[in-house]
Amino acid sequence: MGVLEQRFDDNIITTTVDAFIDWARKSSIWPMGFGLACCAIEMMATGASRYDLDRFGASVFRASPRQSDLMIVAGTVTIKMASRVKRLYDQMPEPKYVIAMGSCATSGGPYWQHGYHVLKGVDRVVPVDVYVPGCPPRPEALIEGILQLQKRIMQQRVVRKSA
Amino acid sequence: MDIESIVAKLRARFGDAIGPVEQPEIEPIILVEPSRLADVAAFLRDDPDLACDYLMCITGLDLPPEEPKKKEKVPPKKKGEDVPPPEGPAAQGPPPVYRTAVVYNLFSYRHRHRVTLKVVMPRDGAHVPTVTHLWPAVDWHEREAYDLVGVVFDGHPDLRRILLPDDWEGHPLRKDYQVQEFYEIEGSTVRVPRGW
Amino acid sequence: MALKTEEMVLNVGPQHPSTHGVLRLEVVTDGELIIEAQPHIGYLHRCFEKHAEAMTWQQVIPYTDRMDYLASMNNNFGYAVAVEKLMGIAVPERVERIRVMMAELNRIASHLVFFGSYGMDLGAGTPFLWAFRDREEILKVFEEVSGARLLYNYYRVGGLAFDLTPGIDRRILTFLERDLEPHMAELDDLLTFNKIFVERSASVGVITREDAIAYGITGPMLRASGVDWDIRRDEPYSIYPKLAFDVPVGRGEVGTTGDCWDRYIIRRREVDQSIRLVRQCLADLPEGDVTAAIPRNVRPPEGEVYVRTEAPRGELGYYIKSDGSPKPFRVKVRAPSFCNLSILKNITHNVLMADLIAILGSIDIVLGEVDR
Repeated sequence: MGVLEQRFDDNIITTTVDAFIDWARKSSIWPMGFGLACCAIEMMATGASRYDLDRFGASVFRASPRQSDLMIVAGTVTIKMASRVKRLYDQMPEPKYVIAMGSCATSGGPYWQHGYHVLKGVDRVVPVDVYVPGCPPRPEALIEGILQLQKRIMQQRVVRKSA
Repeated sequence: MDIESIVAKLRARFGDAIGPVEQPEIEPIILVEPSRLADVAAFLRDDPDLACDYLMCITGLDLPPEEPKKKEKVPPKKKGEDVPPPEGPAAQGPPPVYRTAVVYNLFSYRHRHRVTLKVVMPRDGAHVPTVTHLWPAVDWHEREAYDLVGVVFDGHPDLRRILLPDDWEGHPLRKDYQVQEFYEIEGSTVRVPRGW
Repeated sequence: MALKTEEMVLNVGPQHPSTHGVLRLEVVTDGELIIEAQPHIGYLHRCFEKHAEAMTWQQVIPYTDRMDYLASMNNNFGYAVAVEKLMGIAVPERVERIRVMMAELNRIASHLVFFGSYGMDLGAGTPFLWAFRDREEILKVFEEVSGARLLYNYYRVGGLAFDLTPGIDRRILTFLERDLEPHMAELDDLLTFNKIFVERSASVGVITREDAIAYGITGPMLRASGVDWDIRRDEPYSIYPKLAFDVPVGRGEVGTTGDCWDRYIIRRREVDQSIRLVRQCLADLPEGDVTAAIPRNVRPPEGEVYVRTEAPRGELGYYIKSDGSPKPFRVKVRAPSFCNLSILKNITHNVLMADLIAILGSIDIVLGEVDR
């Protein structure tokens, strides 16, 4: 929002404006397809015909980070890949959100003990908003994760000063 | 062709370079002298009766060390006497010698037979001649064996790490591998093992 | 006046919508023509072989699932067959039939993903949704039997984890007859002889027979290049000798033998053969306990074996070395996609960028397998 961001006190106008902006943001989260491993297939299934992600506004998977709001890290992040994850996160414009999908992105997954090349959780390189557990999480679980993210977005203060 | 005739043919041509056949009742593995491997492999591919035109798999193995020799017997403690424990090399025995093995599984589409070769050498300075010029498939297999086990293939056109980053330390599939503690990512360091 | 052009080095991936996973291609291009495309892998190296040395023999099975995550049943199958060969266990007939049936259903599911994503690579958006609709039905079957949608952990050394649920054979047969076969015919209308699809994939990325054998290519790619070799028929395992099925071989019907269209049509015909196999497995399913032959303690005797099975992507080989202890000494996986991908550098000289994506899609790699 630029110069308007976080400048005003709470009153009925700014609260309504905030609600409107938050509603617009949560209804059109555009994810960046960052499918790395098996969770990517469940992410594809979530966007496909049966568990349609388009009804939540989140199905336009953009290829480029510059045009996306959400990075769904779906799959195991390895040490070799970690620098690319960080770089792509840095390239996304604000406001940006990260969902760590699956147990590998959350904490290393089944490879936590002996995986020398596995990054034990993507939150070692990027800040994560929502963790979706599962190996792989069901499409319904991913949808729940996106709904939780939408709830968080609705609570954001855009033009109002932060509390 | 059955395995006995293949081994006989190889022995007739290469003599001492062909070692004994391991585990013939499960799946016969022919031991080969490491320095002669490229010649043996070329013969296996080009000879019309053997015609092994397809290399299925190359496996690098990190074998446990051979059994150490018995330590020197310590004389029993006499009553009231202090016998200091023996020090120096006599107490530890000789250091363990780790060995590396590379197993080649070959197959012939024409004759439908399989040949398995194995080379064994000490881990330090493990060198094997490459067979990339015979089967182009081998390129990536040898790079992977180098990456994970540390076997150096002499004559390979481009021997560098394939699965791990280029600046990784160590060869992970060795039995005494310890993962490194930190790794640099885009200017910041990340802790590699689990936990904090 | 001649235009002065320079070569450009372009990175395709590791994050790219059509690289089917984290594969990085370092492409040297001269305008739209590619001079060299060098694949870099390792972005999904999850240390399977180190885990296999740290877990017990039965505990390795969930890790085998996650290598070729589109065909978990086939990965489990190969590992179970290899360890059973080393131990000398014979499993009951009911177990064999269910194993083959699950492996073939998973082959169909994996090929459906191929049709969807290959169509998407070439610009067709509809086959993706249609293929995933049928795949969801197959995943329903798997979920009922094993509890999971994608990574099943269903096979055990010596048997299976769970038996079939009552009535599922009727459901599978109804699905095959009422849904899958008509939908595959619809997909044919949409994709197989579609003029644009044929233009983009015929005579593109031709792999000759000699090259295919020398580069260690296996599976549908090998058969597309004209080599009539299928492990299920020629070096059979489990109950494949008792089952009747054909092996489709590429003949260059709309282009050259060994082009991308051939690789597509082989997989399409394999779906029909897999449907045949599933019906045969369900036809005489004997009664029995699927967990009867699972040993209490899995401790194979000392020895090394190399066992190969036909996964949807090619020859999946397990080289297993046991030293008599409860944990494996070494498990090496010869992944079909790893070997199939190594030819990419050699068939992408002087092709257009769009052809590179078509060729890469037709190889049908799964990075979990390439990097293990």
